Amino acid sequence: MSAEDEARRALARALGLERFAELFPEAFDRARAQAVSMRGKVPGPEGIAEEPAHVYRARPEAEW
Amino acid sequence: MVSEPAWLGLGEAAALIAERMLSPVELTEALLARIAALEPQLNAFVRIEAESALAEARRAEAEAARGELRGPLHGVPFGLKDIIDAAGLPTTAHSKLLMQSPPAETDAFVAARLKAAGGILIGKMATHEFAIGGPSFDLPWPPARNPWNPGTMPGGSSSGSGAAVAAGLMAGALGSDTGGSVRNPASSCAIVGLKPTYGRVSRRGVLPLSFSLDHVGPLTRGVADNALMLGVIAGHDPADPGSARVPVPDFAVGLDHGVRGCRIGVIRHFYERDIEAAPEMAAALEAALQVLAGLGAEIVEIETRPLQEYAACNRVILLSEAFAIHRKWLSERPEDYAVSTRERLLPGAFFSAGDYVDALRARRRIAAEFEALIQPYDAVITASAMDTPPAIDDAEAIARAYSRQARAPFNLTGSPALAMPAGFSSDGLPLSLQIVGKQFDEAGVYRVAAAYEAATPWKDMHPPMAAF
Repeated sequence: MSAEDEARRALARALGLERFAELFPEAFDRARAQAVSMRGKVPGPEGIAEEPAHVYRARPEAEW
Repeated sequence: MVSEPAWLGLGEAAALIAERMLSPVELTEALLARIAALEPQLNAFVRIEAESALAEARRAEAEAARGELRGPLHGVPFGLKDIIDAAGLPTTAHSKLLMQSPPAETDAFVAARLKAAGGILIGKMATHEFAIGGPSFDLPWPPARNPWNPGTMPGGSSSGSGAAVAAGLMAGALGSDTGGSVRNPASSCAIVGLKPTYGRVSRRGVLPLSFSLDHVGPLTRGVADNALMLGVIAGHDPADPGSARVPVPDFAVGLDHGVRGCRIGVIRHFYERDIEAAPEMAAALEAALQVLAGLGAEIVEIETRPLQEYAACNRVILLSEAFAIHRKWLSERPEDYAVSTRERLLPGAFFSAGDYVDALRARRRIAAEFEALIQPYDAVITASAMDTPPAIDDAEAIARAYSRQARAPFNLTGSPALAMPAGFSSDGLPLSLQIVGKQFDEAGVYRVAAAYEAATPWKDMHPPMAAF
């Protein structure tokens, strides 16, 4: 088994996706690369205390 | 009996039924005859409810004869995307994983509202699997096809809803929209699709894809029908944690007000700089702006963040939440998904909790910025699709089309957004535009859409294969 296969298997085990990675190793690798790309395009926070949208509400001042 | 009931709008049919000039039974029979003729080519349905629809139509006819009208859709058939529960029927999500699921015990909030208004459920509509896959040939049901050219995809994920409405198999259907899935089929099939404001319509009884981005919205052939259908399904539902306790206005109030004196923003950089739309699409958008200017609107170019920032933020949130929903099946039964579905879902496994929280932080900031930006305007116009619908069996072209769109920003901001026809390409495929409004101002969106619709011929054009 190559080092690449070993790394994939370890990652899949950590994610609970051993079966997926075993059946579809190329799809598993592609998904990982896509996630890295998407993550890199999200604008970072403006400050350490910036709040997220929790349960997102379009008009927070309204009664819910 | 009117001559061609199948092409009547929701409101027109309901009015004729109320005046006893149209029989709900004859209307339902006419639609079922069209379904029998066209469904073999369109695959718009997961399930056709012919028998129960006719039984409901007979009941509606008897009630109408007694002057007892249930509501504004009395005796008029509609369809539900098959991720929306209807009591007594299974909800399959077009998936092998749910094809043996037991019947739903109760109606989804929106299904109950449509039935209470007198609507008749005529079928459960095809969808891209779990509202995220592409058109797939490895599922228990074939993918829906586009009536304007059955070799092309009808958009998705509310694919069957779009195809059926465009082909005159029903006048209205519901879809869901997490990254554009109501507006994509509307754009692809030359009909009207609205994603309402987040919180406007309850998602109770709708299979989730992404809790914080899912919306339910109507697909119809005209703007007035869309406003009518939204009026029926809108309203607070304490059982949906995202449901807003806000008044439900008459969404049709401004339909005949025109746009003279309106200020309309246009986000050109989405389709000129961030992504370059196909020339015919860009030309259709400019022509639409000219129409609105000719009607007396002031068109003002506005600028927001790059489309790619909205898209990335939407994808990280959507896929993180979707992975939480699908984790067990992706772990234990990945081979039971369509190839395209499992490949679209899996990136969600690789985001950390920190990635998700950072995307939610960005979302809050971006949504506030956008809402402030558009306050001076009555509505904003931009592209929906950048291209005409791709071939249904060209996976590469389909993946490209999904990445070339400007719908996802408004799932992120929660703004109401409507897609509608803006003409046809040289090869006869639909071109489209998108109209976006301030939060909870669907009426403002409809006002602009109605003015454009009235000034253009697109609403009355039918797909050649369905023009009978």
